[in-house]
Amino acid sequence: MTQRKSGSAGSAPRTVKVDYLSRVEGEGGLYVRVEKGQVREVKLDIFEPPRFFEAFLRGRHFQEVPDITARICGICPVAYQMSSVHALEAALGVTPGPEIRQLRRLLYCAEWIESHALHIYLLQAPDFLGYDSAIAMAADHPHEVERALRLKKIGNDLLALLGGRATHPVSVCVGGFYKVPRRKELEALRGDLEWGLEASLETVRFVSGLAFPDFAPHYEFVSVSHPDEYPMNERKIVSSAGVDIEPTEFEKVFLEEHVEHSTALHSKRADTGTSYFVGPLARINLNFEKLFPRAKEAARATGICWPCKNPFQGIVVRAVEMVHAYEEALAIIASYREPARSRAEFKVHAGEGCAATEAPRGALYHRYRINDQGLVEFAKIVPPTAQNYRRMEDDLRLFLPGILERTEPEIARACENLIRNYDPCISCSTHFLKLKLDRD
Amino acid sequence: MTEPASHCDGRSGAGQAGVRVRVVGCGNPLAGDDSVGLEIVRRLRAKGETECDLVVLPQPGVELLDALQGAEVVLFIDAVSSGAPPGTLHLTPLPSPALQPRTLSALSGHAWGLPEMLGLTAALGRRAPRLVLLGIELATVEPGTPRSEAVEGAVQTVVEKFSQLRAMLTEVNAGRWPSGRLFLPGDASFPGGQ
Repeated sequence: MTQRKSGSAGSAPRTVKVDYLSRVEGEGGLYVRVEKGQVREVKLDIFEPPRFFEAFLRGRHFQEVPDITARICGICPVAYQMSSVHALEAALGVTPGPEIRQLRRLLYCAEWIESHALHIYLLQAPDFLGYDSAIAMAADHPHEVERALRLKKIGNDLLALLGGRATHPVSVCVGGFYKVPRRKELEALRGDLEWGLEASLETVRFVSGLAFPDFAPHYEFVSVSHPDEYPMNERKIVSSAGVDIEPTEFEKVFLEEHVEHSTALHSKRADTGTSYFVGPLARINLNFEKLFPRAKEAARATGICWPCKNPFQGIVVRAVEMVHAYEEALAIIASYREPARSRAEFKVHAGEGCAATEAPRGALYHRYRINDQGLVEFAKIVPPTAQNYRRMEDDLRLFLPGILERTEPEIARACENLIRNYDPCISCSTHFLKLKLDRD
Repeated sequence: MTEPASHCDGRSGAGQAGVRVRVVGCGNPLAGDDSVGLEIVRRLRAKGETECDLVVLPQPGVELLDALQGAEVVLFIDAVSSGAPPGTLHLTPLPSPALQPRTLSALSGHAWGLPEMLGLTAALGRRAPRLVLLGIELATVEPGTPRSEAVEGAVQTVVEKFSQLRAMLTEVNAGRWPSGRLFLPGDASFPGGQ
């Protein structure tokens, strides 16, 4: 919903206000000040009330943490569960078996599928096709929207099978799962997953044909990295600027800080103070060779020169990752053996541990300290969207000079489109978007 | 927190009249009376033989679209706040001028609420079911509190008289379709249409 509050020409300050940025999760605003044709100030205002998850986790039993942190987000609850269980397992010295590890990747595949299908078709494609909403787009592109809905539903079905329900799954615990699926239950999804793989490849072809703005800033891309796997659950954290660290080093390299205009913390590099970029674009640029074969082949066929630095092409990357997720889900199911035990046994002791996993929107870091009763004494959660806020502001500083000659509603819309590249989940980081543009 | 996000009771939703009815319980299981929609569906499942699809959607979003598919009638059950005495039952067809779109979509993920899903259903050329809301006037949504006595009374009334309500919803051509009515606590005429 765009509302022009005032727009007098001449030297008086001008204000453009977007009351509510659509097709993102949560609420926030954007303030831009322009003097003499120069962008002087960009502030991404996050006014979503703070949610205090880190505070009210204190005193809770460690085994409650995955269920509580899942409540941080209705779109990516698995990510919060995965980062929390891996961090707590690090604290307790627990190493689940290979079958549990594969089931966790399968659970993550399900979340990537449902989240990416939603974002590609229902949240971002309308930007490129010139529609205000997916509903308006659906009238002209019913085939694509029907495809999106089925792609998403298959992700939800897989998630519900593994997690007990599609939203805020309840099967994940420290050590493994409360209940694991039977092989025949997973086999029953094979037909849908095979359809989904082909539909994802069609999605890559569809989004590759969109027209993208010419915009490619210099980014420091940051993602989780594993020697053999496309990053989901583990292990190190790497960047395009040479960072290669264990999760235990995360807080030394990346800092969170309070900024006055935001109820969400903003992240930056500790040494340089600069912004960095987490998300699908970072993942693929740092891990391209680890994509599954058909996903890699599809990525190469897009015509994009990898590594890709154009954030608008993140929609293509999400489609490629959806191919990967369907491909890997099929592979995991094909080799699945029901584990003898659904979860590892372990003794509770005091400890501290951390982990980073890859939420659909990017790297998600958790750290916990528990006492010998298994109660949480300290919790730290660094969501991907909070890590990207400073980078979003930097993008806007670079992007705005090229569009200042446009009308204010057009500027507002372009800013919204740019921010949607990040698929921001403002709810997770504290929720979108009022734009206030002051210029003389 | 153990409610599945969406679940069909496995029985055919088509009853003797051949009209497929789906009951969708909405609400927050952790917020006092806001759990009433989920609780009514839970009790209907336990009771059995409802001849309806029974679904819960604690956090409706795009999943609402699925809830609109494959049924002729969809009954949403949720807590409402209108200023009426707690436990009052509101039975009204949707969309209703008394319920603004913002009310229906504001708390859903990415603002994908019922108006948006009805719009998407129309844009995709899908057939939309007839929609009815059974709203239960709430007393408290304080997190962690039990349901109020007034709302518990309403739950009991709805479960006891569900077969009459269902019969009314399936007789869409018999002039018994709810036209928007309010039943104060203790009103034995619920669901009306007699």
